[in-house]
Amino acid sequence: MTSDYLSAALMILAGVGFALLLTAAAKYLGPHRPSAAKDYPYECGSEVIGSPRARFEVKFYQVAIVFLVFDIETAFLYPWALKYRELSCAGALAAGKCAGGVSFFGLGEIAVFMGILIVGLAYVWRKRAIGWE
Amino acid sequence: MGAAEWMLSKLTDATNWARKFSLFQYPFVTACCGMEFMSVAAPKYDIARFGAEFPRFSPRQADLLIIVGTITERQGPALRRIYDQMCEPKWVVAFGVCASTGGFYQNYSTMPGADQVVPVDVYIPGCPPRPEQVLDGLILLQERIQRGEGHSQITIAAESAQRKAEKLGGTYEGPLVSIRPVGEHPKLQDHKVEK
Repeated sequence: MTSDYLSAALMILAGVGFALLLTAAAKYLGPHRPSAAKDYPYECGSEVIGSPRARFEVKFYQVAIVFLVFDIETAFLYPWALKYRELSCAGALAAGKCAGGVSFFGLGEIAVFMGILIVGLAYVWRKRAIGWE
Repeated sequence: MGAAEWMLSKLTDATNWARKFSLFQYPFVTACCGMEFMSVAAPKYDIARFGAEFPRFSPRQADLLIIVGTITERQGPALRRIYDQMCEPKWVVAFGVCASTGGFYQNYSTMPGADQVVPVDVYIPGCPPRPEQVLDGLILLQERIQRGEGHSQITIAAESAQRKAEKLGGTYEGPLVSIRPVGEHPKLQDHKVEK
């Protein structure tokens, strides 16, 4: 048991040791010449214009939220479509043949889900969050 | 030579050996020579054989500035800033005649050689140079690095010797600092610079 983990431990030790060795070598062998130019942001040599912490329009936030609604819709619809045959069979499904009657469970489930999303869509539409004016 | 000095000189040799085979290039590609640079970097000529395989597109991670193509007067300050932002010690290669001397351009906008703003260690002639010439230039640079003759290496060594002399209460009379500071540069006077 011990020998099983010994090689792994040696591996980890060698990995960490090598990283520490390189860091120490860079620290003790490398020259240290700090300068204002090195602290300056890199913009392909150009001068920096403005702050990176710029303000964005709130419209982008709306787009992100609306996107999330449609994104989740797709994420749920796809596996549902793959399982639809199974969900609409009341009995056992074998080789594509349904043994029992028709079940509306899958259809009803997705109708409820889509209904909730459509209410949301109607809301954002009415609130004029979809337009970009 | 004492034992400690001998050890130090061997350590410097080993460090320079490691440096010359692990050059991280910053390709400052401005013109058509870039095609030849790509050719050198690609598998056929394979600059990786010389340990310089890894182009970095940030000066923070690079120690070899390869100036590939024509440098205009307006680009000068940008080039100098990138040079100043690179890791130490650092080296500069002028790739092709435009970067070396301005090439066939003789007009108001072209800088007559990148060495107007940055200290160039190796000049590779050619319009554009063949990949073999570039590899030859790289080997020349590696020899310079091993001897500690790069502009940046000389500057660092001089500064270190100066500090040592001051610590011992003496004065330093060695080689002059070979990199002209930005503040004293005629080409960079009108430019906002970090010293």
